[in-house]
Amino acid sequence: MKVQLQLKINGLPYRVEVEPRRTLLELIREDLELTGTKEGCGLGECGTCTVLLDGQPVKSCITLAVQANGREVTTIEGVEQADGTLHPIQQAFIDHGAIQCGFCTPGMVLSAKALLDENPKPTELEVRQAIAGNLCRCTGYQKIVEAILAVSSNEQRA
Amino acid sequence: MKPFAYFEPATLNEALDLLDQYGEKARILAGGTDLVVQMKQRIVAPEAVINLRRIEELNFIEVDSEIRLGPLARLSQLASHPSFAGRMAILREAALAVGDAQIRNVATIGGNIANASPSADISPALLALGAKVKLARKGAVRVVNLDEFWAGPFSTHLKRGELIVGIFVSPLPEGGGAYVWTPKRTAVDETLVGVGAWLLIDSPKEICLRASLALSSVAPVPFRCRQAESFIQGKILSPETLCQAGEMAATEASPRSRADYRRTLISILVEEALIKAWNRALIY
Repeated sequence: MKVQLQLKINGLPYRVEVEPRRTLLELIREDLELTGTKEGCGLGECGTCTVLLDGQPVKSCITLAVQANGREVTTIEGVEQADGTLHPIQQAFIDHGAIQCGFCTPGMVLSAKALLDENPKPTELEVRQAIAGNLCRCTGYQKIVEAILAVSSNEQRA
Repeated sequence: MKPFAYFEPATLNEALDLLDQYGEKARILAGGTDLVVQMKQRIVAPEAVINLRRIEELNFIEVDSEIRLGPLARLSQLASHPSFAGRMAILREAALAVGDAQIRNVATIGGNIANASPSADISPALLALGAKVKLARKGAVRVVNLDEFWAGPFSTHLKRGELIVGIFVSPLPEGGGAYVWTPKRTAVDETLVGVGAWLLIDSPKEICLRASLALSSVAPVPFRCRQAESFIQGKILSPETLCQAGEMAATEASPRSRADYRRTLISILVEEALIKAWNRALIY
């Protein structure tokens, strides 16, 4: 028995039919082929599958697609501007060498975006708490924290 | 994950009808952070999943002369609620101890209690506050003390078709409290020992009038340390009293693994929780 869902992903309306057991991650990656969202542990521990649901970070591998019905999802594909210009967080990750293998990056960027949207001038501790649910196997945390803090201080100057 | 019939009842009555119909073959979906993992690992394979998300009457946090928490209130809401600061910071501290930002944005208070994990963080905080749980099934409502709600690890005294519809602390207690904890060093930092403390102090004399102390992750279910509580009552919290209370609480626990280490941690964390609670109770 499939369920019909209506949801917005990266600002675009979608009408999809899914089995209730389909996860939001499977819907995004496999049905809609938005492969920027990664699957790591599959059990809600590593945070690589992080997407924003109504602006708040959640782990899409342990969220059923039906739980996103009627809501707004942002994946890493929806972060850059329409003309392809990178989001300041993405640019800061590049500028600060905050990317090594890149696998945790989509989730890291989305957790950082949710933080900065809510709190444009976080402390270092707040940054670390915001990304505590995103594991980086390369252990590049220091540069990731520096990148996020750099974005917040730039925004204050602007 | 095995297939299941999926329901999104619009009202509490509809949900109770479905629960009555499916009984133990149904599972309730609130945030899903425990349930979806358990279904993926095939620890559970329910015939029906009942998602409560449309039932607005189960989603509230109200604090006045008492605390009323809806089972669908999310831990992130609990953590950011302005009422849970100062002497009431115990609930914010407990909410922030759970998982990470992504989990707290989704996980609910009702789910945290109903999952009946021995290491739940909200549970000792609510136990220290003397919380009660309101349960409803088709045609019947009852209220139980939270410490009579759990039957064992991941097991509750919920009857067939029964659902948590509210968590209450009434009246709002005087005094102050704290929740302190130490995690395992794993990916998800599951709690190794959690301590909830609530103290009522006679300010001029600085004597403890009432104490409640609850532990998680060191027994089959979160529990109140009744011996340590009665030991503290009527005393000034001197370093000796704190030390003895911690040791007493450690003997009341029954940790399954790493027992010596956990008992040492209990002594330390009970002292820390009591000092925090004492300071908060004195100020307010």
